[in-house]
Amino acid sequence: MPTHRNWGHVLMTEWRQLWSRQTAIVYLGACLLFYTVVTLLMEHVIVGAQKGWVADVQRNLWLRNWMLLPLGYIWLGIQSFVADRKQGFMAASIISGTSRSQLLVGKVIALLGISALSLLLCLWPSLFYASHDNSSDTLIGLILTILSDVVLIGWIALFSLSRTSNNQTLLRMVMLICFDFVIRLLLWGLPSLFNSPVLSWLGDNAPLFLPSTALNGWNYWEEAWHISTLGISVGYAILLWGVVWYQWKRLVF
Amino acid sequence: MASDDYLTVSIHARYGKKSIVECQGLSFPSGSVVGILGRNGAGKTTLLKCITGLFPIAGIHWTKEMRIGALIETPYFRESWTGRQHLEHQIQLYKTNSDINKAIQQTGIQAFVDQPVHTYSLGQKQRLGIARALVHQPECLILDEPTNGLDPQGIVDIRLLIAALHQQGTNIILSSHLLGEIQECCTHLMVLHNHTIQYAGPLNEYFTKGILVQATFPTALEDWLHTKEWQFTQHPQGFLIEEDIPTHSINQMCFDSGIVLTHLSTYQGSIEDSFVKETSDANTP
Repeated sequence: MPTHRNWGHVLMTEWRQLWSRQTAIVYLGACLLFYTVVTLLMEHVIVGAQKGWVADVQRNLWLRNWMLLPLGYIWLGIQSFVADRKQGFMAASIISGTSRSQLLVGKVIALLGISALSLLLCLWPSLFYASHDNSSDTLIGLILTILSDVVLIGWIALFSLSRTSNNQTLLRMVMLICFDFVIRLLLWGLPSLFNSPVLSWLGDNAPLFLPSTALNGWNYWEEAWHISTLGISVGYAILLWGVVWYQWKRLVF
Repeated sequence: MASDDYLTVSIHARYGKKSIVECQGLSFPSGSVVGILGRNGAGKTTLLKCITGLFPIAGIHWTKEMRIGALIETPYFRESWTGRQHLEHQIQLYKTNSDINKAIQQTGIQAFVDQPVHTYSLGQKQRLGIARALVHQPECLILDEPTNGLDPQGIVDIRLLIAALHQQGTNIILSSHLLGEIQECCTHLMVLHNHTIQYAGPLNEYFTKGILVQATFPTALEDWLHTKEWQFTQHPQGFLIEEDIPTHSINQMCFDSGIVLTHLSTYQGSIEDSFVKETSDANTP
């Protein structure tokens, strides 16, 4: 059999592989820049802005998860799954004795490592503006962001299984988000246009099951312990990774 | 499975309902250079992917743990990296202290190894792909069409390299549709046809062997051969008797039957003869 590789070596290889791309450095640099500039603006320029580290962290979480920055993270994920496969790195890893499970887990952990670093960067500008706010809710927001990222990586991995082009995979991610947005909009708007109990019921319940509920899990941190929000995010992650795992085991490299 | 086999393969690989490789109890002897021969689409690359784990399937049994190096299909690279960076990555992957310069010299890539891969020609990429498969000093080297895109000098270099590695005891599995390449490099042969193994064994046993005869009256000779119920075929120079009979016995039998032979010789065919004969459409199930 090919020489067996231990987990530590696999994780280190994937971590190095991720850092070998400029995207990781550019993404974290952009995070640092956005967080710093926005925090400084809010603390010193914008009159009436909420102050204190909880407000700052919450703003940084919004920046990280809602603005341009998620695109950087999605692109990094696409490079890790699609470009690594296209450029022969995944095949080389498997031939070297890395099992498929090790390769997949290694990639996810490396991406979550970058995710954790970007979350740590969320905190640093706020260190200068510490207050005595209650911080527990914000910490829950940070933890839920990791859960949202697990789902996001799951979608990237799923799309990357059938595509060998970075751009095609990115297009599919964008289409998923647009599709989700349109459905959410319809479910919100239709019940007010047509007086139908079925539409009303769908409008109240169906949005919970859309992909963006899990992708947006971090945004419900105020109700994090609400079983429906947390449960659906966790359920989504398990279901999605179950499908990815099934397909991954059958993938021809 | 013989005790000196390092790998046995029994696979039944399918895409949906379509069979892509079928083989039972195939074994790879230690220290051999096994050539896998087959037409386009016969399943050579798929078999190699099964062996290396790139095609997920059960039935591959490595009897010992060994470092593998492989070049499967067209080699792919990160275009912005230099050749040297790729080789260093491979060294890190295997955690060895192998000498990169040795692989660079063996594959003749010194002139361009420090340039980015996007500047390479197809042949240069192929050489780098072989260097990447070699750099960590594998105990089993798997090469899929290694001379694709190489210039004549490159082809000769690769053949010499394979011979040198074989001398050093490296196990080599080589796939090709180039008959000459297989005949030059291999000790053992595996012929794939219609996704199944048609022959597996020593290369020299694959060739058609027999006795070539011709007579003054070929029709009389043919009738006589029919009466003997021997396996024979027509040949441009007469009839080829594919039986293990000494030539002097045939000569005596013909003389006793009143057939005057004009030609009698032992015959050993080429790999091309045997391959075409065994994989011709007439033999397709």
